[in-house]
Amino acid sequence: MSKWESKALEFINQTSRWDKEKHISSFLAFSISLIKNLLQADVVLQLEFENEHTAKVKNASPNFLAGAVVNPDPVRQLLYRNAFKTIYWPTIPADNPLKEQLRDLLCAVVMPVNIEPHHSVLVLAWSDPQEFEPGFQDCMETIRLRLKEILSQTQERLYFQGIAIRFAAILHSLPHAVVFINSDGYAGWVNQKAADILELAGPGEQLPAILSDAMTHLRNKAVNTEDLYNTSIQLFASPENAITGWEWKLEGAAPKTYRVSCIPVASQRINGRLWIFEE
Amino acid sequence: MDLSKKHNIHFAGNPQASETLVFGHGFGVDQQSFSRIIPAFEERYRIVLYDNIGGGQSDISSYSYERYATLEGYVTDLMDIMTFSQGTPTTYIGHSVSGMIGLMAANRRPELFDKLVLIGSSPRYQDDPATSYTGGFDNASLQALFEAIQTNYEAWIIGFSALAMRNSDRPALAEQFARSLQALRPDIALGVAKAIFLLDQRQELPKVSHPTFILQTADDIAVPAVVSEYMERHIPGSTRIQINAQGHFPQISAPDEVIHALQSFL
Repeated sequence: MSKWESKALEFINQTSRWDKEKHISSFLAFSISLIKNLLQADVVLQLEFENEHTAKVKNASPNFLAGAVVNPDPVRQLLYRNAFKTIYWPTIPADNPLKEQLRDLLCAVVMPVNIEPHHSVLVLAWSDPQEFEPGFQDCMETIRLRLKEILSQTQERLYFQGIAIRFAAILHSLPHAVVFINSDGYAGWVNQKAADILELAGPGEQLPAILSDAMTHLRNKAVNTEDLYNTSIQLFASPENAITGWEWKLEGAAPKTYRVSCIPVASQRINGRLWIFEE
Repeated sequence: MDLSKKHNIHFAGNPQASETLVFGHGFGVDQQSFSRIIPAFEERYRIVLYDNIGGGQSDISSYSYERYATLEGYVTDLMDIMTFSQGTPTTYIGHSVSGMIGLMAANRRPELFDKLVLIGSSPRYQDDPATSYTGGFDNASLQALFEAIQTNYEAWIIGFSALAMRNSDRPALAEQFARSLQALRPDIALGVAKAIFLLDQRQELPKVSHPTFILQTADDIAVPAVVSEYMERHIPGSTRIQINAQGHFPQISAPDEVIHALQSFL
């Protein structure tokens, strides 16, 4: 195995062993730092195209380069002129769109990593002469393919984490108790208000079996149990049935009446029932 | 888009002059804020004026929350403007946040700058008890400021313009600043205010390699004197002067004082 094959394999092995319990953004930082170490570069950075006006330097080493804003158009034009292939500069040209980042360096590699929605460029640079021999270029290509996967995973995870945070904030702020039970039998979700009513440890993901037990327990506290039982039979006769304004009259030290709605949720990706309790 | 249109770049003064002055404006105003001091330099200097994106007559469609979330977007803009207007040795005169933008740009591209003038600039507005740094604002007051901009921009303008301008004996000055703030889109005003008031660029100060002149006024709500003293201590070879003027906009309220101070440095 050649030196460069060994380094490419090392990159794949180490990024495959990454601890998934850590935050996803540290995966990308770890991977880029690993490239720098394996290739003994003096500078490494990711340039992410955020929008038509903005390309930002991220995951940079040395760290002081991070956060800089680069005009995206000249970099895009450079990539376009090179057919979006990795660019090898044994001598960095005087007129290049990354002047501030490549100051006082001798040679560089500019590697496009195209991922929707935000394309990136990985830049590696050295202050000593480097020979970008075919073995090195093959190594870079292997790294590029793996880095593309890592970037894709990172962007997807961050995107879904953002959605989850946003929806959780909205649903936890609702004045109603909301319970969702997925019909696959494996997933359920409650907001804080529902967790309180159902006496659960906390809001968020819950197993449907736990939710089912908690709702049965709540229903058993009702004084109109027979009515609830009969209505339930009608409701669950078909997965398409819905009900609103259903009264659950609870006894106890502080008697309460909940107006309950149960609505089927049917979309391409998810099927289940949404329960809403209004006091 | 053409850089000149994007930033509403204007060339003034003497095109044959052997030195250039570039003026960068602060938050809530535009290049017009230098109109009372420009005439004093027109004969001896080539003068470049521009508007930061989001302010004045700049191209509003070029504003991007991502690009201008920090000062970095403005620093890149200034490096473009300085490259565009190169010709003779250039002194950059930055008011308020543009002082820091100029300082950062000069650290990145030192060949584009010869001297720096910082008028009412600050490397950090927020106090930092961990390093015993006084910036003038604690976290609660900054959060209150952002909330006020977000919830009632018009009301915030009335209060802030008077506080920042001072010179209560000349209310027209604060009214002029208020009108300038009203011309800003509130969402952009909030974005710019956050980029400014949450910045921490103290690490840039020791890297400065150009002769630097720090101009401080009395009763500046945004930049207390202790901040400019800090800058003088940390910018190698810098000179600091406290002029006889009140408020955050001496180039508007006390142009003669600013002119004399600038001439002494230039």
